[in-house]
Amino acid sequence: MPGEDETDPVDDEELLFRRIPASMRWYTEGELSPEAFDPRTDETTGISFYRAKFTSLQQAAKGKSRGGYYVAVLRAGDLRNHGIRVVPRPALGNPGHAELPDLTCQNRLTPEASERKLRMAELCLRIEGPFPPATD
Amino acid sequence: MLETKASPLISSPLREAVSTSVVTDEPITRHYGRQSRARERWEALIDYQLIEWGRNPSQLEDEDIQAPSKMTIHLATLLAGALSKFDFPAPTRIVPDAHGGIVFERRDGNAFESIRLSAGGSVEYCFFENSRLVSHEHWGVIED
Repeated sequence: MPGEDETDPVDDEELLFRRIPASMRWYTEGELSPEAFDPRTDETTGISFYRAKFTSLQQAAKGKSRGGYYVAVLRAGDLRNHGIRVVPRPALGNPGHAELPDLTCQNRLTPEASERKLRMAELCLRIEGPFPPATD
Repeated sequence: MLETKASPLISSPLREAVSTSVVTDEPITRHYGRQSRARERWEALIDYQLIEWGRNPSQLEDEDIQAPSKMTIHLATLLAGALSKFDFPAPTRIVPDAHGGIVFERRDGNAFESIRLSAGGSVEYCFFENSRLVSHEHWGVIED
């Protein structure tokens, strides 16, 4: 979008997308498990989200999983209201990448992280999908 | 003539009620009915989920996510059996975590409970109320 810079701070009203592999059963029967926000091994500086401002749902749902994905939708301001920071971390080929630096694979089992994961599951506005696996 | 202390019109205390599916709302059988349903739930999770995962752990493999090993799934089955035996409330669901572990989750209104079996066999219990961690316990390590 003209005038939009991927390094701009994430506004409170911005929507964020978190990709959830369907095969992990973290979203079933209308319920979302906090484990959908468990940092992966490569999430060392914070769990990854996509900014809806720069990324479509279809783009957010593209990944290597053979089982396809769901996409969890959250609002940045809701996370900040519960003490969870959201920062832009654009990457090459991924301008809409953002991170939550308070939740990393190193601190994932601390009491604070456990609370944050549960809180995020409850702050989820909706789940989009399922999106089929990418064919390319 | 011997005198009995107990009235001949009152039977001795009932020690154990055998729960049937016919009457589950009467006070005398309600507790046992609830226990029976919980055990059925545990059995279903063990038979149709954990054992099935154990037969085909690759179904849990995914991008950048460590799937639980066969041993972890086996330990989870043992854990589930023990929790069922001790009448622990059955979980709402059992899910893998992103690091080779398995988590038993239970939600009840504003309360949320998780029992995490890590890939190394350690077991951790967490209880939350209104998303606040109220109780956090390390239960030790499970071995086969």
